Amino acid sequence: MKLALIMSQRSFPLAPEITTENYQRCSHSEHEADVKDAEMATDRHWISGPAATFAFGPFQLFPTQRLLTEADKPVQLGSRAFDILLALLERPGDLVSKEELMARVWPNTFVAPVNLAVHISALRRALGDGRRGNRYVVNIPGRGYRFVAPVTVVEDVQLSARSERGREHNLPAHLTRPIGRAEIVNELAHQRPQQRLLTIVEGGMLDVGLTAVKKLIGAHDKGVWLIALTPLEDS
Amino acid sequence: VTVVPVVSIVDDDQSVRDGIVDLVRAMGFDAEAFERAQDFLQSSRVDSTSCLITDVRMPGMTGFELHDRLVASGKRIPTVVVTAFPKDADRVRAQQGGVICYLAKPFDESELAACIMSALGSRAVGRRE
Repeated sequence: MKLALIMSQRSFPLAPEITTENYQRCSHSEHEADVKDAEMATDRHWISGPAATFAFGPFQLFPTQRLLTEADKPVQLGSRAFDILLALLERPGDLVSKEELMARVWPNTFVAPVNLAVHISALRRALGDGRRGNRYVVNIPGRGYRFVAPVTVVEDVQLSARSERGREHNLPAHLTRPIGRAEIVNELAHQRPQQRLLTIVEGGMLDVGLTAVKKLIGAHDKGVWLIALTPLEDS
Repeated sequence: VTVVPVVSIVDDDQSVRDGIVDLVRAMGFDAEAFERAQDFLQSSRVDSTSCLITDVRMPGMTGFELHDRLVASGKRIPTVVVTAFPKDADRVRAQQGGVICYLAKPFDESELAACIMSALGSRAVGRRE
């Protein structure tokens, strides 16, 4: 998983006066997001460009991967329901009309309002909306829907975090923690950081090597990159 | 006597016809499919159909022409249009023509089912005789 930089946290019901426009302005001054990013921000993706991820409650939505997770576990969600959720998250707190949602989710076609209702209902079920007092998607009868929970927008580091140089890497997020290998991990991580290339040969050592290398994130100017050599087949 | 709603399908693609007929029957409705719009217009089902599902591009008569023909003859059958070639102009045409849904193939069965239910609900379901 790429490193992420938290851009903003806002709770809409409490701060309705934050509009699209002044939000963009304040995000610029605080975080020095560059001008290109602002140009990329279309009406639809005004928050931070298409690579942003959204966090709310225990959930996180990754638009490019089309993935929704709850406490880091993937949540089953149909593609229509996913599109609806994404459309609502892009404008948290705003009323999104049924027409807008349908045009977004069924481009070039149109469906009966009941189709939208069906997917909204599936979305609510997936989120556990209404259970244990959780409220996420609220229906404004006859008009549309509103996402009411606080949303945290997380910006992809590669787009904006120039200051994070050296913290880039492509190491897997979840590693099996090697047990009883602390010495080797320590040696690899602290005694050989000056070496630019580390080759891990044996499969069983992979987690040891990766755990060690993870400690090196930030130590090298160009980041830390894993290159998997294609396994050779026995001939 | 409550009558089982009659759903008619017009599509020149047999696999689509078969698929929709199966779906409609599974929903508990009476389904029959026609290869050409003319065949449907000449059948006795024109008067009993509560929901029409039609393709757009077909040899002879398009789905939109079929819809217009029915409207012109005073038979307002709630209609669902399905097409492999969704176009914005057609979407607008369908919407203005009072079509219930304009779906792109391949469509989700549950989506078509919801459209059929809307079509049937748009006039009295289970007409009494």
